[in-house]
Amino acid sequence: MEHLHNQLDMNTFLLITLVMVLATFIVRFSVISMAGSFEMPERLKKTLRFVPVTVLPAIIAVEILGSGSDMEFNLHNPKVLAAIVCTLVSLRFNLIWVVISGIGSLLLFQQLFNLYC
Amino acid sequence: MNTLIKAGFKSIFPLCIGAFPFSFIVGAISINAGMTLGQSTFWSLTVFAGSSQMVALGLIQSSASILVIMLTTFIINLRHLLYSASLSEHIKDYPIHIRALMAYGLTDEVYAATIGEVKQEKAGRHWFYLAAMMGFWMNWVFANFLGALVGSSFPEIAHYGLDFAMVAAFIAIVIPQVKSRECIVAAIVASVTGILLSGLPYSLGLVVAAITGVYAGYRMDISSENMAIQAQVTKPVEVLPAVNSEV
Repeated sequence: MEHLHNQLDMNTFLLITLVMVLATFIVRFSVISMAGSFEMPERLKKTLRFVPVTVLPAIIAVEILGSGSDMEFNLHNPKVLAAIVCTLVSLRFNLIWVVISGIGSLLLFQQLFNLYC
Repeated sequence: MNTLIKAGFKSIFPLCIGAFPFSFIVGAISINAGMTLGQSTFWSLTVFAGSSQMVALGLIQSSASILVIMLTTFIINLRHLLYSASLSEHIKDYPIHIRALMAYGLTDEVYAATIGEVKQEKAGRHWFYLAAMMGFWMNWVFANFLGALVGSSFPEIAHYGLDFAMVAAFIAIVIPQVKSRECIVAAIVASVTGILLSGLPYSLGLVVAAITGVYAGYRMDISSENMAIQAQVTKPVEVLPAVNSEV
């Protein structure tokens, strides 16, 4: 976990910021800039609804299971168990409770595995 | 004008409460990913896109390339095309710089809180919209600042599962959205593709996974529509014989 605290250098930071501002603004301004003279096809509108439900699950899966040869898909991976807790909690409660229960259950499962495995 | 500004602030207030913890978490994680307090605050002030910021932090931590960060930001924000299209109908008479400013702050929350009022096309509605947008923006930056402050005051916070906070937040965002059969298939296809391609450099697997998942969802839509049409054709004789006999 030590590698997490490497500092971002200023040029990389500014480049990331600039690129993200552009990518965000271009999408938001796209149709508004042509206001009134452009109608988006119905099919495109309908298909765009899949974007959030594909990007986020893919990130979740990779974050939980790890990537490449470090992959760990079994119930001995405390992140898999904590993610199941998060999913159940999210059916009834809002974001902040999901996050709290997620971190809480992850710490708990990690402790349990350290003790018994 | 003052009434419109007040009404704008009032309409965004509940959404500010909802977004506060989200931005707070983004701020805390950004410290984890190597940003300073000042960088993190400046970043939220300029980028102003919650889920993209959260995803970018994950990518920064896994040393993804600039190109992947840009592509992913673009893909995640594609849903804003819908807001852009919907809003443009009602603000087409405003000069380009007002429209540009309105577009800059067009987040999920601002759209949700203002579209009802903007649709009525009353005079001065841009004041209502801009007030809501500014309120949300200030709340967003402030919450991020507090999160970053907490994150940098407790450097050992990294060892207590802060990066898992991001995963938990994503689960909370995505679960309520996965309702239909089509969305479930798209989500599963994207996840499996993402896992299979997770060995690709620069997190490129995520981009391919998103595109594959969206394509799967699109094919599901087409087949569902075809089935609906076929069901309609056969309905009078096969599916609803009871109704037929009454006639």
